[in-house]
Amino acid sequence: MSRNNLNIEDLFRTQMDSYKVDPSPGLWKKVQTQILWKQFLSFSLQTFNVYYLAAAVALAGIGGYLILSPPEDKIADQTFQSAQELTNDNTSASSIEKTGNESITGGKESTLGKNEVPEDQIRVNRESDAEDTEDGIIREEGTAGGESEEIGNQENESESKENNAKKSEIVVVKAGFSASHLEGCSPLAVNFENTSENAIKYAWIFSDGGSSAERDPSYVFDEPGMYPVLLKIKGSDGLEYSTQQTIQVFESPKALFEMDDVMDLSNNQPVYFYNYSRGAEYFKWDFGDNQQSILTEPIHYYDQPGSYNVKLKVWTANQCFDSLIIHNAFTGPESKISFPNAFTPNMSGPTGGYYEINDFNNTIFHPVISGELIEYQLKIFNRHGLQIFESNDISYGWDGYYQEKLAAQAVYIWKARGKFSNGKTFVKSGDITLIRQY
Amino acid sequence: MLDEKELIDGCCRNDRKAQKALYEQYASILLGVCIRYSGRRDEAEDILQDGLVKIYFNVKYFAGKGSFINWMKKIMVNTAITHYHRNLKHHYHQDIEDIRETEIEGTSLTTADFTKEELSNVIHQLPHGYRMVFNLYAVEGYKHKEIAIMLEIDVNTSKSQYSRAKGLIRKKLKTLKKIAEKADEQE
Repeated sequence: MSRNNLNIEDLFRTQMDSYKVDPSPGLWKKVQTQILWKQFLSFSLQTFNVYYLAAAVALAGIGGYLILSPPEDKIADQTFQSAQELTNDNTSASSIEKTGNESITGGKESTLGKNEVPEDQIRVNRESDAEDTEDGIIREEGTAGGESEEIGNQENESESKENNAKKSEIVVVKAGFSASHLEGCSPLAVNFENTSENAIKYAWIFSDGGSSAERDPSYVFDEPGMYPVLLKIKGSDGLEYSTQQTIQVFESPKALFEMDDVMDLSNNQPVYFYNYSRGAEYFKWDFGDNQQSILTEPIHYYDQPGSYNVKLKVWTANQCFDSLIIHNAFTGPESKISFPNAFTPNMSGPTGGYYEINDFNNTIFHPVISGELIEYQLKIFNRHGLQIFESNDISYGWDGYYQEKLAAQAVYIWKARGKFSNGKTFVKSGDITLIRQY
Repeated sequence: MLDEKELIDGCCRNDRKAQKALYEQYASILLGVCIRYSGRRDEAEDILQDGLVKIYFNVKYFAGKGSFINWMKKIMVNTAITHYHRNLKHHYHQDIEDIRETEIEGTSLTTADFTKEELSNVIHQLPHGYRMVFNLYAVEGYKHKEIAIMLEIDVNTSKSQYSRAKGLIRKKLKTLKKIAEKADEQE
């Protein structure tokens, strides 16, 4: 092998060393222009030449033109400015609607919409105040001046129009937030919504070690407990405010059970269920045969043999919930079917598809089963959806040939259904990669 | 015809004539290098162009150690690698047929079997990453460790890509028929 390796490397090294390809005719021109540009751009006195002179003259010319011909530009500038003033007024009015108190300063500046602005302002204030009191969640710890300012807004509607300019000096800062849940089961994800006003910086302390600097953080409390959530803000007036709410996280239960490994349900044998659930107080069993129980550890009698899905639901006193389902209980270790995901067909011709169970050449695609099948069907499709193989006999698999021709190396889709002698049925699908052996 | 020393000196002085002479003398062989690293001719010419500009601007740093042509080839290789990194996103596509490892036993190759164009073609058919590794290792003679650093890949990636590239090349050389004849003779 190593001799061959050497050969390939030598072959390419000797041959490619002097391998020539003639460039396209125009390439030199391109290289030349690129060189000129690069030389031009990497300015130095050494290479100073007529090009720089030309560029300098051109620059000077453009500069001179700009200096000497300003009048039209100025007119244009002025009209542009006045247009900007107009839009300024508009934006300040709209920002008042959004942000409340702070934007009164904006209103002061506006000249056109002066009379309308305060009314908007007050209406918005009242609405937001009403919301706050309804919620009852938000606690204020602002300055005394700030609070009286709020009340003043509500009471003196008419005055506020006149005192507009004066009021705008005072900025009201409020710290407040609402939580999507105040209590819940662990792990509890809580979305916090910040209702603070005029804050420039936020710091959240979740008291289980977590913190955040976001405006509206989301936080997950993993462990049960009482968690005071502290929000500190820094207001635009430079002072710090804070507010606190407590989140209660209840312990979630864990559902866990086992049952007797009864292989034969036919003789109306009792089946014992063992409950290993943790933290739960209420239980509900579903035995899968439309029978239920609320006992902690029930004993159940099945009328018919078969495979049943047994389900246990558990609750705590705080309505925290968990559940566990054991699928196909009592079917034992038998009756399994599994499929490989690749095979290498015989390259020299179709083999018919019948295989020896102990043949590990992997030239036939077939499932491996434990237990006894009473029904079986396997279909194989190519990627265009064309069915290229079908078998109703477990001892007959796909040899990789379609219409006497070896199928392409590709991924194929299979679908299988069937029934075991113990009554268990299956419908499975998957893919199989055909790999050609060269 | 200027000799190599005159060429270098002339290019150091930014002499147009020397630059053009260098281009005429070496462009074809340098493009031969570029084309090995690039899947497309237009890209190879881009690499050549960038590499030549580098050569003209840095010829003054050529120390005179080793051969001038090898120095220039090295610049081309490095430029090709830069291009490879820049265009990596365009070259991600690989067929399952392409990456299958194949081995052909018991064939030996001699230079007489293949023309340079055929070999160049074979290199062209490699997936982009394989082509880089194969060129650097087999033709330029770099170590896998060096290649790993140049291409910013793992050493083992370089090794495995090289062995797969080699497998592919063998397969392709075989399809060029000449191997088959050779094998028949040996048997």
